[in-house]
Amino acid sequence: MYTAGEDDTVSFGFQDINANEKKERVGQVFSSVASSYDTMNDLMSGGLHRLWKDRLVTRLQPFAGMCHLDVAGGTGDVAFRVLRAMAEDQTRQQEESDAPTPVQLGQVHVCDINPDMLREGQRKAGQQRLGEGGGLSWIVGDAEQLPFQDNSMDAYTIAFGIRNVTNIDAALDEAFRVLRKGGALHCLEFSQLALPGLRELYDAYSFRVIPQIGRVVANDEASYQYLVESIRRFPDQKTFASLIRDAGFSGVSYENLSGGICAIHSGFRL
Amino acid sequence: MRAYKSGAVPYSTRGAAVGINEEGHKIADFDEGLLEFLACPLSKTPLRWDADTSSLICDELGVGYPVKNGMPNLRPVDGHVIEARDKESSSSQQPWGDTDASPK
Repeated sequence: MYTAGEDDTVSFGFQDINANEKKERVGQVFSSVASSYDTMNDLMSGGLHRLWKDRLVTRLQPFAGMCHLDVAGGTGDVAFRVLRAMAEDQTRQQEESDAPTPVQLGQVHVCDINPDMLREGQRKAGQQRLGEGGGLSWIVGDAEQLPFQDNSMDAYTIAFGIRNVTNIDAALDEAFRVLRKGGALHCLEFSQLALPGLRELYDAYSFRVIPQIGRVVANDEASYQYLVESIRRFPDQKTFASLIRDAGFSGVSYENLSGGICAIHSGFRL
Repeated sequence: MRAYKSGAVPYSTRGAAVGINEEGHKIADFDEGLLEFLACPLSKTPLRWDADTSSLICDELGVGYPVKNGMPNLRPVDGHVIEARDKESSSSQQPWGDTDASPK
């Protein structure tokens, strides 16, 4: 079941909790992991998460002037990649064009339910001198009730965020609503490993090692236990693809990364 | 056209708005250009920027959302009902307007 009513219980990792509680508890998890989030991603994935995000942005094909929405990416990993790609396209177009009017850079909106994650993202952007002059905006918002107008976005990305949403279909419906006709959805998320033999190794690594890394690096074993469990509960590739179709998207496809550890699902509003 | 050095991110033409409130303090920059995209998360209608209270106002529902240090807080739980009788005024204190009203 991917839609929760008020009295329903939903999964919080391997616990079942009241639907209303999930949002708050997820919020607590991410407040506590915000400052060590990037380090933890590197340790947990052996640096692979960088390649996965590179691949996401390659599939997205950013262009100068686009209006992009990145959801649940508070610390900015995907947003920064998208903005850099837009800037490269802007440079390319300006060099090639004889037109006197400047090519617009466009805008990346970073929307996250957790202000601490966004502040961390702002800090990193400042450090890397990204988004000076306004290419990045930081907005606290809920993926299930997005604070953006209908048909306002050229593309929507969500990386490792959708499994934390209480009602996945509500998030997908909102993604559809804010996209323009022709707009693209790209979702990078942990998925189900294709090969059975690898599965046991992966489970052993996840359930034994990751929470301990969390304990040592971030002093927070419980949050990382939650993260690992939430991965297990997320629907498999085909099921998630059908949820995306149910939200009205066309041309829905997915690509496995690293043997299915994660997958990028894409769809279009036509 | 001058080529940009690789790695340098060109500036967009969008600028940030910085305001000074009545006490003379620099208040959080809010980029009013965002109003073109933002919406109330509940009604999905456009918002109005109120610099005095550093809030985004949804006139459709009579709800205000805080902007803290330039960052709009637009989760449904962030909204507070505005009690002013006059829809144009975003003061949530005296309905007839109060120049001494301090931001919530």
